[in-house]
Amino acid sequence: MKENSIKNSIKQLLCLVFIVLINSWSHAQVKQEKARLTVSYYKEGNLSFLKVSAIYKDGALFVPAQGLDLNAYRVFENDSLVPLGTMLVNAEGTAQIDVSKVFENDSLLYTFEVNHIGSEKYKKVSKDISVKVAHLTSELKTINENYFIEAKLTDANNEPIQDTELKVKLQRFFSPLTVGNSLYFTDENGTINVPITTIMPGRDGKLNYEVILLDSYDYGTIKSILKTTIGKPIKDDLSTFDQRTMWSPPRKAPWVILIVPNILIFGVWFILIILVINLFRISKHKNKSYEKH
Amino acid sequence: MKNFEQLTDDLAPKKFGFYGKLWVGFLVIIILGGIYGYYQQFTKGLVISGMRDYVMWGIYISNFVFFVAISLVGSLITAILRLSGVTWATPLTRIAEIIAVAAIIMGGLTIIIDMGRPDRIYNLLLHGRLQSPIVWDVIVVTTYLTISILLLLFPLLPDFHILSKKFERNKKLSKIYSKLSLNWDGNFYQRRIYKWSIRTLSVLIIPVAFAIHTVTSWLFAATYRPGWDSSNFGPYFIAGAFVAGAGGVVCVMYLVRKFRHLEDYITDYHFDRMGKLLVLLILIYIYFNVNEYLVPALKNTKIEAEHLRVLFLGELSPLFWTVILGGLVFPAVALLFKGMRKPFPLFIIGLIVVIAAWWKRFVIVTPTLLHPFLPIQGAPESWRHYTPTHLEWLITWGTLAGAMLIVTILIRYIPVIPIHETAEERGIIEPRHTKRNERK
Repeated sequence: MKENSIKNSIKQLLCLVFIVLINSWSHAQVKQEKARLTVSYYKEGNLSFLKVSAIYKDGALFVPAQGLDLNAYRVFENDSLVPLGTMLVNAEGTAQIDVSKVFENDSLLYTFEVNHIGSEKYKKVSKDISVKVAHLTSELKTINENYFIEAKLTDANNEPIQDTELKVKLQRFFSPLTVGNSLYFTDENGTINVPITTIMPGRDGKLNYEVILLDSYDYGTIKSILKTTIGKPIKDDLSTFDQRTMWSPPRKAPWVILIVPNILIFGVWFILIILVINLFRISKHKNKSYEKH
Repeated sequence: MKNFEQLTDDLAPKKFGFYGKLWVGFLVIIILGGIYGYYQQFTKGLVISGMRDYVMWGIYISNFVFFVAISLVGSLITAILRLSGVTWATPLTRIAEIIAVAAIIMGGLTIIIDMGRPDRIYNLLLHGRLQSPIVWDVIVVTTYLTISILLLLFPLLPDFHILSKKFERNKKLSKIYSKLSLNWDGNFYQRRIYKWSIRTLSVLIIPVAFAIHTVTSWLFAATYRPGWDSSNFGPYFIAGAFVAGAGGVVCVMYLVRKFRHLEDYITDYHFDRMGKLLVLLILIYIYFNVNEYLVPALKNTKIEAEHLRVLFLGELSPLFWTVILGGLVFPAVALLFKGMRKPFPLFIIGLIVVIAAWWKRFVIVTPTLLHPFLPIQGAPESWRHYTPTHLEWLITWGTLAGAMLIVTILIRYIPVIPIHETAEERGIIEPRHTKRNERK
């Protein structure tokens, strides 16, 4: 009698816990966030991208709108939209899409729209951007054994773009170094000439310079990479490439690491195999002693 | 004195009653919850956990270290005490072996859970570097699991033989036990192989057990991270493991004694002995803790000072002091009093020790990862902290319930106290060590 009442009490308690759990989960509401989009245009060589930054306000802080799915369109003069593809915002709150093919038929002005049609977590949002086509080229010139970088900025009709700020940098491992002044302005030919006064070291003498038109209102960001071999070759005495070290690939492990643990592993497993065989031996030895005697 | 039949009746496995079934049902529900959580992780990835770029080892790894720690009790009770000639621990050996097997199985599984997807094991086998402690850990966990299973199995052979005779009326059960006994009839040759195997396993398990937890500690100590960069870590982990394992044995032996009515076999004397052993182990562990925290505090480098500040005074200080004072100092002091070494108080203390041991691993693993050498920049605010998600907890509870279910099932189907060994020790049956004895 008493046991039955305890059983019933436990059953009732379990049911109650189950109902509370189900109830609390079903009442969970997801608040819709308003994402803020920033769209920029980026060109390097023949590749062009739309880069999107997406954030939303979480309390007092702006945080990345991770997981926000975006659609990209090209907008024509009659407001018709041609889809270019979709993007998904990453954990850093950024996304990008390759739009290089759009520029195959050069025209003067391109308009793009990026939008989100609304979802469980984010509200509907859209942003557009218009860019003019420009080309940035760079080459290395040598005058009296001195090196110069000559860069030229032209528009879609190959007309020079004057009085525009360009930056010249040298690519390094962590972040690029500024070469010469922080800014250079293009002349009436759309060119800049930047002397290279200091020759930096590089692996096999390789130095990569970059000429950048940064965040232009009309043209976006355009980068031209100039690959040279004018650097001082680095003699890498510290390299442990192809040597047996603790940080080498498995095949290049130090001999001591290969020998000692393997002796231990095979030693222990040899004994374990004998012990497993012993189980079979025990099984085989049934009544053997009685049979013998 | 009880005769052999009474002894076998007492120690043979028995069907679960209402509470036993309720307990199994409860564990199965938690395991199903864990499986649901793992399904979510399997389909969506580790993003469902609270782990991010900085804290990439969370409660899964804390749980893994806990399982490895608690599994060491197999070597302590079975091997170290057996080889030392301690006979009072005989009724506890099977419990310790069962806990060891259950814990190491779930420990291995936890590592696979932490990988996110199980197919990544393939990459570990393909690209694993023998220079890395992670590969050593995989090897030693596998080895220890094999030894633990063998150490559980060998002493069971005579017991399976006894059970096959006892359950003769239940032909199916008798046949299963007979098969499991591997044709054991206790003849001279079988006993010779049996004795040699158990002695070899008892010797072999000690270095492997020390290796498993030392290598686990090297996963941390082989880095320069604050809180981990310590040559003290191997013995510190092993001392802590013995505490956790002994606490686990105390809990299981109390429950087994209570629900299987084994008061004649697991006596107050055993609890008193285990209480004293626990005090000794806790005192050794406290000594290592003092070393572990005092030396960095004296050196007081900037990064170590920040790490220790978070533990001693910062956001993790309530947890840290609860674990140290509540989980180590209080049990050590309480167990000095004889009254606290009685079964029920010792069970409560064992429970506290085990829970504190789990959180101690969390305190070791996570805070260090919140203090990288390079400043955290450009990362979302939430990445600066680690809070396990509900699914992460669900999976972790699932593994803990899995270990307890393995223990429960083994207790249900195998003698939880060695029948043959107990009968021999009590002089109920004659040991047959020689051919001459056998002929008699």
